[in-house]
Amino acid sequence: MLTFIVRRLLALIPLMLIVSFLVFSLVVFLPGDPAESIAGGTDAAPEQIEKVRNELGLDDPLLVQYGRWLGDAVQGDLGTSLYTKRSVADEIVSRFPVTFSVAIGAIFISLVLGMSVGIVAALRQGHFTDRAVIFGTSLGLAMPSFWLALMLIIIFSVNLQWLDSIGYVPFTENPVEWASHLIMPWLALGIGAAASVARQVRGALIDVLDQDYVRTARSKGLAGYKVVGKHALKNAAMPAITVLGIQFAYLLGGTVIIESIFTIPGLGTYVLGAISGRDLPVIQGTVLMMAVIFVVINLVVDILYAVVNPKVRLS
Amino acid sequence: MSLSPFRRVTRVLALALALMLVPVVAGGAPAGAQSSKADPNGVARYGINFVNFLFQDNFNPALSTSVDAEFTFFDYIYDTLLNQNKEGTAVVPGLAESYKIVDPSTLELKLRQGLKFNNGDPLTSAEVKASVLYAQANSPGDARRMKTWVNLLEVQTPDPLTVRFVMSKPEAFSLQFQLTLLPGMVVHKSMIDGTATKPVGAGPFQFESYTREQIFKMKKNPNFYNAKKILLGGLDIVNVPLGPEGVAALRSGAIDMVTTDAVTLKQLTGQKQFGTSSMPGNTYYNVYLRLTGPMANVKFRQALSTMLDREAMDEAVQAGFGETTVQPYPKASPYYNKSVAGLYKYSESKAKKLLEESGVPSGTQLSIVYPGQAANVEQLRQAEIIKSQWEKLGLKVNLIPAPDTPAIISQYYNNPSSNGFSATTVGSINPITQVSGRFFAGQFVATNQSSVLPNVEALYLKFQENPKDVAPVLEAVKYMVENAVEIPIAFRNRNLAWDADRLGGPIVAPTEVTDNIELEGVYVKKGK
Repeated sequence: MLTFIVRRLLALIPLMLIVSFLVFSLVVFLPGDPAESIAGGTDAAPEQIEKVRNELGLDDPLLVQYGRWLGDAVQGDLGTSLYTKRSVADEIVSRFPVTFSVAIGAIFISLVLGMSVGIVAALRQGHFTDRAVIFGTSLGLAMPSFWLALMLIIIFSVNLQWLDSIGYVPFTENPVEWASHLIMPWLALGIGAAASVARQVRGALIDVLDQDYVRTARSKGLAGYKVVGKHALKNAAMPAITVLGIQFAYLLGGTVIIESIFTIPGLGTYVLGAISGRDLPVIQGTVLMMAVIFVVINLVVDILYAVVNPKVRLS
Repeated sequence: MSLSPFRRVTRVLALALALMLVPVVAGGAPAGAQSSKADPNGVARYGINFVNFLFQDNFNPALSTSVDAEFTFFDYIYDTLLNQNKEGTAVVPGLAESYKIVDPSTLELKLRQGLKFNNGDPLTSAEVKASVLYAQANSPGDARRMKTWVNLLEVQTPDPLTVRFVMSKPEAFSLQFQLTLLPGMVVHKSMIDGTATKPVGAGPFQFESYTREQIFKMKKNPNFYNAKKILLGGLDIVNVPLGPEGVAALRSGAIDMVTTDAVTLKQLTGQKQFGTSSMPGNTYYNVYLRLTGPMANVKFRQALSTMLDREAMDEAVQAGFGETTVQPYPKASPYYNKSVAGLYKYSESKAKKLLEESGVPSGTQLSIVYPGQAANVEQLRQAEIIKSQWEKLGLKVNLIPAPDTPAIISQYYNNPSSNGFSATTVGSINPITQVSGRFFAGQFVATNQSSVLPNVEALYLKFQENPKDVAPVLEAVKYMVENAVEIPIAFRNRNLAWDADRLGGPIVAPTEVTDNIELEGVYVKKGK
């Protein structure tokens, strides 16, 4: 197992180098001259533009700039915001718990809702319940999270006036307020993910329930919940773990829009403001952070996979 | 002559009734009537989007790197030496009760008597001088900071109420307008020496707290010179997204006021629980032209301008709230030239005739850049209408989306093959700034597009020598319109919706650029 983990970690090094170079190259790929934009756009005097370019080190060759940036990044220094002058790394550290709390709530909803709906559908295969689940999950997959967010706001904030549509209260300040401000973002992000999990679980469970060992367990007189819970679900969970891992990473990305809709001060709002103001160190730092999280989550999924299925680590 | 007791009483009653009616006839309910309805502790909640306000959290206008973006917050804490009227077309008194241009390089202000910061310290000419020198000292350090004081030679303070700004260039005329913005804010000495723990200013409200990217809380400043007209106990500026989510926040009761797009405003207008206001600004929807290639031909440009149905475009883009135009100044502006207002009325036949006279062949291809951000529906609509209208003349119009400022610079300003840029021209209360960036020598647009208009620049320079005479500006406007050097379409309105159940008083949409609402006389109703 240790060899497996070390092998996977080593494989991450070239991957992270490629990712970091791509993230850094945003400066080159973006159209126009960021120095000109930062110096005041079309009204900027050439000497102002030159000054900003020099400040940002944009007049150095790309590889030199990349080397400098990477050297700082591995030491935890992602630069400072061009506008607020605050450390990008500090900002990410202070905002990550907010974004994480949005994503973790959504993943919890997707897990609980997706698993239960998927199991029910598989056990009632071909019946009305199964068809309703298929229809419902299709709907869940088709609904964009931002649209769902708006619908939730209209229902729970505008019409029923039960929940606040804007703002955020830290968990440490008031856990109830924290949850009441996050319930709509969790639902907006979690419902689509739940639909995906439900479909995976339903499909996998139907396959497993057809296996000989499940039939044997039943013929031994084991209770239905034991057959499903102890024997079938363990094997059916494999694809669901994969989906959940990927969903978690996507949910972190999805928070960009959701945080903006509900004005939650997390990484999403941070990067959106930075894009609007062309704050390159912030964009680079945040995107790099997101990429690292994505890669780490995939690693965790691979390890979990290996734990659940020994064939994986042997191969 | 003696009157019977009955007639005397009747006359007294009639006089009393007349006196009661005077304020109503003269302009609505008397201030006393409003304050009796007002909750003195009522806090109004104004929703704006913080994403574009790149805060530094120090709330010091002299250190702002986003210049006007932070104005909305700062204006309530600091106020400005001079203010703009509600239409954004004229300078009116602020912390200074009057101003005069002594000579083209010198502007003199007379401060109000008895001005105080919110901590009770006096605000005199010495504080203005210290504040301005502080802003000047900080500006060269960052290309993004205010440039107003770059050419400041000296600040003279002959007495505690008089401040004289002496510039090294003839900038006194422009300075009066700048003083209505961030450069017109005065900070307390504790913000200069770094001992302040929170912002100290002389505006209508004082800082209470700021929760990052959430809410900016202020309470009434009892030391404000016009405090008796501030009927609110406090003001919260709340972060809300723009668009439908912001309006949903208003509908849900999370906020009391929010700026909105024209289409939503139209939907809310007439609904009893909402108040609405739409005000034209100086910013206008416009098609910038690169005066080269086919666009060098004046008849061709006139044909293009005649081929735009401005009323229909305004209906599609601003739900009909905008003021259509062919010139850079709105009707309320003293620089509006009535004599050319009727030019370029929509006529397909006239446009075709002008095109024929121009000699530009049918089938000519035009490349028009537009700001193509996904959220910018208005710009997209405008660009598509322009394309469809001009294609009726037999032209081929290629629309090029540019997602942000650098892309716009690259696609339009630095790309000689583009013919135009359909966008908004950001307006200014300063009539010179309203056109200089495009048509004066040395400016970016002019330099990069061969669009320098010597006639226009000379007229504005003449005006600057004697700003009381607006004739040169009117002449310049006439030249620009007759030669169709750009194609203005409509002034962009700022729209505001508010909770009429909770708020009362004279609420008016904010002026362009600053987004701050004048709150004199605005109140939270008792029991709400």
